[in-house]
Amino acid sequence: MADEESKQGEEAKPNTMQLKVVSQDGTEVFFKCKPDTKLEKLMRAFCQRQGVAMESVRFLFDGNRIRENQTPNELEMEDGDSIDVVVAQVGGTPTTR
Amino acid sequence: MPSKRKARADPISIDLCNTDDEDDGTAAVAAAVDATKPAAGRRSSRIASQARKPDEAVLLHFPSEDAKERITLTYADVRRLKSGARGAAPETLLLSDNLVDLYIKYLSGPPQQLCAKFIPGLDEKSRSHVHMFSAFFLKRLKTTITKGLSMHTMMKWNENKVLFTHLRAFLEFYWARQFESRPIEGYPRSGRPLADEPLPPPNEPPCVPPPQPPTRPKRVRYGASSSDVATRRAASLSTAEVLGRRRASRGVGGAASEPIDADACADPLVDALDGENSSLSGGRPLRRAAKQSMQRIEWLKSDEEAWREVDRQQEGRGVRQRRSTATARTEAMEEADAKKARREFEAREATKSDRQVARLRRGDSAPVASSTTVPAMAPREATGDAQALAMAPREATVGDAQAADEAEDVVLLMVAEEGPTVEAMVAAEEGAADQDTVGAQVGAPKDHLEVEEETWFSTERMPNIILKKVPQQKNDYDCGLYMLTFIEQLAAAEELPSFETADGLIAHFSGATLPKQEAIDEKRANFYKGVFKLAEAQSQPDDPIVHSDWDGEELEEPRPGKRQRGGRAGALAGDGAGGTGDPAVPVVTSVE
Repeated sequence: MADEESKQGEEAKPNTMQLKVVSQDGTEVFFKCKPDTKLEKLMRAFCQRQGVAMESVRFLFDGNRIRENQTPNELEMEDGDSIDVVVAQVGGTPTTR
Repeated sequence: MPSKRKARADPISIDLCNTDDEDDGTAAVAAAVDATKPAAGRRSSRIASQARKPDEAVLLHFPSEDAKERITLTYADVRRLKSGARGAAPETLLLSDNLVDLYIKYLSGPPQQLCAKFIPGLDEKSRSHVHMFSAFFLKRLKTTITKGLSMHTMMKWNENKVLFTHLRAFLEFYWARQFESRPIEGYPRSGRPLADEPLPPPNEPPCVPPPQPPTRPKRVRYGASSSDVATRRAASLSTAEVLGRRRASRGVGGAASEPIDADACADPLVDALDGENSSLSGGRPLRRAAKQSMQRIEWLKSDEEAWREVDRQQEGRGVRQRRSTATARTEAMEEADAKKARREFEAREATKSDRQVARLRRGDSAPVASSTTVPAMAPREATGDAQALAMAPREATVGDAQAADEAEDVVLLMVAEEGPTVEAMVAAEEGAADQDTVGAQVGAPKDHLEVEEETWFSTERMPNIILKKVPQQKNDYDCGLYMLTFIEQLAAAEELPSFETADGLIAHFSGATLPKQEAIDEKRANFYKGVFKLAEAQSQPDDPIVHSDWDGEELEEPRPGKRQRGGRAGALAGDGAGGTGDPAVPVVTSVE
């Protein structure tokens, strides 16, 4: 982990990182944030920009859901990591088609 | 050509660094967001910031509120577990991703005492060789494939341990797709006009990026309106989970028996990269770097320090490039830079994943030893008609089954749609139809996905992945429960046929051994009760659980004294109030 920190130190603007939020249609939104910023902020920003409700999407990092109060540091995110956004879904198709 | 560039030229970048870190920094966030929006396209941000509805009130965090990967269940979710027999609209009874994920998570851990009566869970033995992925896995996999996104991100999903053991299958899938399906993959399927650029000649190395569609991909407005959501939800994929069977005896030696043939992977890539040079300008140094990196990856393998070295070098380039672009990215980033940045980003991702392999190798050698390296990335320019594909109405479950013997890993895709109903199976069995017929009926999948979605899946392209229809329900809403049940049975089965083919695996379950509708109804009720049991354990005195939307029989067993009053009273009152009125619109008296 010390390695990661030293890497961040190399960044042009120290202590910021860039995260990429990728939605299911391939849209990418880049976020610059601090490693200790709560991810809720990023989520809200994304939802506001896309005009979606927070409850209707799920943010996943490495396939795991992200909690609002987690920070990039906590999740061991690195600069340039990508976060997936998926639409909440329900299971099932009618049997009769 | 110009249209292609336009489509990719303006990545959206939002700077959150200047907003306050405090919770009330919402306005600042909004401002930061608004600054990036084109004036015409601004939408009201009210949608996201509106107050929580009772529906969205949180009932339960599983496994706990502080858990790293918790699932949050709301009242809206749990309302989906109402009895289906009371005339509720079918679409209100479909399981949500939260429910499915919670159930899967529950199955993945030891049963909780309070809840075990209703949801027995799996015993330790079953759990130890089962891995179930979240409900989003399949969808994401599909996006990865159809969009030509980095496979490396996918590799990190959930338990990468499991994924890595199946690296080969995935890579074969990926590469096969790259090599064979390019001509089919073109956009005309969707009726979208092609960009100015010609399609690559069929014989060209297949990793050449296909031309971009002239327009930017339409942005999905998730949940913009309720009807929109309903349509989308009804049409979208649902439960996707993976069962990974790991043979207990399979140690390092066994795993090493099927290493990725790094050379085989590397060569096509190098070819592809070379081929790419002919059709795209720029990026040559990156490709060289990718090549070098791949070679080094081969040499260095598990040497962590050396990995870092590679990473740093690769990253040094990437970071410089991205930094320079990131600052000016908002509006006027140069097109070439955008492309480059994306590629470098890709390369970095690749390197990162490689490093992760190294980490895993160090930490947990058994499963990971089966994979050696991850080749550097193929270009990611591909966008297709994945929108249409992703909207295809289908329910599928990925079962990812590791061979029970020396056979290669098998990935089992289980498709619920159009499978035979359990009742039909039983009838067929009773009608003296031999087991083979039923088996064939259950497992005749090819005509399904291949017709509908040939661009992303076919057995020929991915021999290790088998697609099977599984038995399903008679009604319109129990899909999810059937699927969960089936997975549970699969996991808990004492003896299963070889995992070499899924035919035997699925046919192993005759109609007689599968749950009937009554059992599923009971499961639904028990799921509901179990969820509330879990919730009770977590509930706070000032935020009692509300049972008012339960329309089934009253909960058995008095609750532990702590929560008893509020919850119990709520449950009883609810039985009267919500049960008989309009089941589709349950009465909610959530206490905030």
